[in-house]
Amino acid sequence: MLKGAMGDLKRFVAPSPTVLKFLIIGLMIRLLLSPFTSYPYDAYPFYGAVVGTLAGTGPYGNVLFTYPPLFSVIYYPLFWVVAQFVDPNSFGIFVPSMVEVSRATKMLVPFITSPTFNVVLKLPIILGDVLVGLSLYKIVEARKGSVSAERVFLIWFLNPLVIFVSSVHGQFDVLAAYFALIGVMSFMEKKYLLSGAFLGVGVLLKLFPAYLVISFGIILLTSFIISLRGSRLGEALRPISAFVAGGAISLVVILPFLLNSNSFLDFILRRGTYSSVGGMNAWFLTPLLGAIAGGGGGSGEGIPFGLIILVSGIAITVLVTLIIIWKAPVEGRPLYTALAVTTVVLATQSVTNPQHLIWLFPLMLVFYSSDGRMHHKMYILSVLGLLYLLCLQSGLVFLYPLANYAGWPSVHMINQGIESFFIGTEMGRAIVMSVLGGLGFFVLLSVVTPPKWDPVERLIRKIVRRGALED
Amino acid sequence: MRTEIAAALFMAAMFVTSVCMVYGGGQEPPSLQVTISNDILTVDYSMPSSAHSYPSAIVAITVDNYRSDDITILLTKRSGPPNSDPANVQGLVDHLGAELENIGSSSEVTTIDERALSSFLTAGNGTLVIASEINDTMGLMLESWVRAGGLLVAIGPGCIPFLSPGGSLEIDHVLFPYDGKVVDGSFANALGLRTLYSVNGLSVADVLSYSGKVLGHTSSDGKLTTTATVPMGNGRVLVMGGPIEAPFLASMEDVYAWDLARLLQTGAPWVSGPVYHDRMEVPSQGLRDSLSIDIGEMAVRISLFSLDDSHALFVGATVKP
Repeated sequence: MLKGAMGDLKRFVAPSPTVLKFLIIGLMIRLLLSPFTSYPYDAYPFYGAVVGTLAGTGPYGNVLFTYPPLFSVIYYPLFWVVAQFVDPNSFGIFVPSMVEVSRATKMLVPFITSPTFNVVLKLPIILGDVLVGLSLYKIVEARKGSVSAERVFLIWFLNPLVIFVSSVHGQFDVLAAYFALIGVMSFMEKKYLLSGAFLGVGVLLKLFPAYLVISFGIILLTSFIISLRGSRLGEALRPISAFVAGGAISLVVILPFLLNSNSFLDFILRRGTYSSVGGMNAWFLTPLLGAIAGGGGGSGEGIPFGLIILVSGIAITVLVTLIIIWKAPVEGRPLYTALAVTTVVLATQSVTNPQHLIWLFPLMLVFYSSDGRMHHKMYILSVLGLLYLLCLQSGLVFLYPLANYAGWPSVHMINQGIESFFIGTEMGRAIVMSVLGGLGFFVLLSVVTPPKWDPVERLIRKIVRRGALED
Repeated sequence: MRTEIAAALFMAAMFVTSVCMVYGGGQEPPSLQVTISNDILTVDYSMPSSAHSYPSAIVAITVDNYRSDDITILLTKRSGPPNSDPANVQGLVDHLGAELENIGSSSEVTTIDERALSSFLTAGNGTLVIASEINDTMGLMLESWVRAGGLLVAIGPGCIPFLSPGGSLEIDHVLFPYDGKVVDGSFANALGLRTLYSVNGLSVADVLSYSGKVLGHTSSDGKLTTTATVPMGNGRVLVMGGPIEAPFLASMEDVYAWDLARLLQTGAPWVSGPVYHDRMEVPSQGLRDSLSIDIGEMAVRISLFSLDDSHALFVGATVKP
């Protein structure tokens, strides 16, 4: 049994020499980048959750961590072990010289996390990159063979945005994307209990798989109504009850949090209503409008209609699902639905930051094996996403750990660079952000556009054809 | 089948970790024992062991009227100077509630809107936090409430009419030029106060002219402070620089909440005489020590607590001879 399991693991981790080679290269790149880079605004809440839990007050004890609890559960054992050898007070440092630049951009915290902290935090995220890549290989190999599977693995694992988000930025969207991917694939295989459980776990990381739960729930509900005509009630109920049971089982992992206090749910949801708007979605003009109105924020701040957009997102999810049930063939419905719902949610939610594109990439790559347009769009979105991240406060913002712990460039130099970039280019920066956001929105919409009407694909073909003629 | 087993193992591992995080992470509490003999107060105290050494403080404050009230925060929809933004005030509600819970306080944090303010003020004493502008009529009611024994926490310049120019407790607010240095041995340093970089500071001369006491960090020339307490009739006004605004760790709700929780629990706003404070490093094996203070006929509030992020230890006792 154990020997069989080890064999399975070996086949999963090293399905081909090419995959193994690039797996090692990709991992080395990530591990080299991770210690001396971070995004202070996001790293500080993770630090707060770690030290809060070590203090016995839990990840929400100091009210900085605003995500569902599972990511803190995943990384806590690593930090607990490290904290036995390294003083947690050395996990980060308050840097007074960053206060002024933090005030100017309102997207910085004058706190720099240590290389040890950065590596430990990013390890589970990097593991997420690996799991998504190898799962994609397995999924595509079963559909299109090993050549396509290798290509898909490489497109994913060496994608610069994927590497940047996990190893430089340190955001864990890939973990939610992984559970969403295997949840969708389990649904395709009619393993509804497993699908419900995986999607439930995804929701406990980031809320976006909740839209897939709603969508798949509708698919199962329509199947239930149809099958009621031809079969017994118990038999007809089995898929939907298994799916719901799977979702309920996933709650077990955070049961202690729910039993102890549900105030964290209130906090997460209430904070949601204060959300800003903007990014690579329908609200892409916000930075420009903010600059014209004299606001300094990057994504537009303080417009409290996050709740309205949340409710609209649910309504759109239902509508998209019903259209797909009406139009798409039964066997492809879950995958079509997952791609369409995730895309539409990204295009219309209150904030779509570049790391959120990671939710969509694995689904696009599963589609790539049958729809060649997808990798073009993924490349474009990756470039736009990277540029967006680098234009938000300049790329220097990611180098604070390098400055503070390696000494070059100096923290002062980074502060000055960010201030010059942010203040000196205010209107220009706002225009670039809005243009990048608008292009991202446009490309996102093209993901769900039928091939014959797809303007992005037409443009790419035209460019490729002109290039070929010039050659 | 192997996918199901792997999923079950993952969920079981996460469940066990969640249990450890929620129920297993508590630290041994600190202890504080006080005895009085011939006006001499003896405090025997201990701090628990930990994997590493950690900073802590012991503070004994002579107080005239220590109370551990529930805390009420005024929420208005006003934004822009001199108001703290409503999102920041809501943030203060969240952070202060959490900080008080973390250090084991029984005080609850509630909010009221402007319509409920007058009925709150007529209902008796309490602790009220205001970080938004209020009108002159409400200001007069508020002044009477403080004089009758209320504790007002005023955050930001120009919010409270009687603290503004021409008011009965006029305290000048000036942009606070913090240079990143903490004065060793100061009360603020001993308490580990975190509002180091408030947007505005308070004139120390004005605070002292009203028989107030400087509690917060001071500018290098000693002319401005971030926090002070001033007596007013039977009540007190705890004035903080403000307004609450980004970034975290400098001038946002997290540091105001950290400071407020500790100031209120140590009785600092009610200070009426000598203050003893000592900042100490607790070695990894823990600390056991004692101190003696001549307190005469005065009430004293003694507090012992950790100062770093990875401990949340607090114990306090009030001694009335």
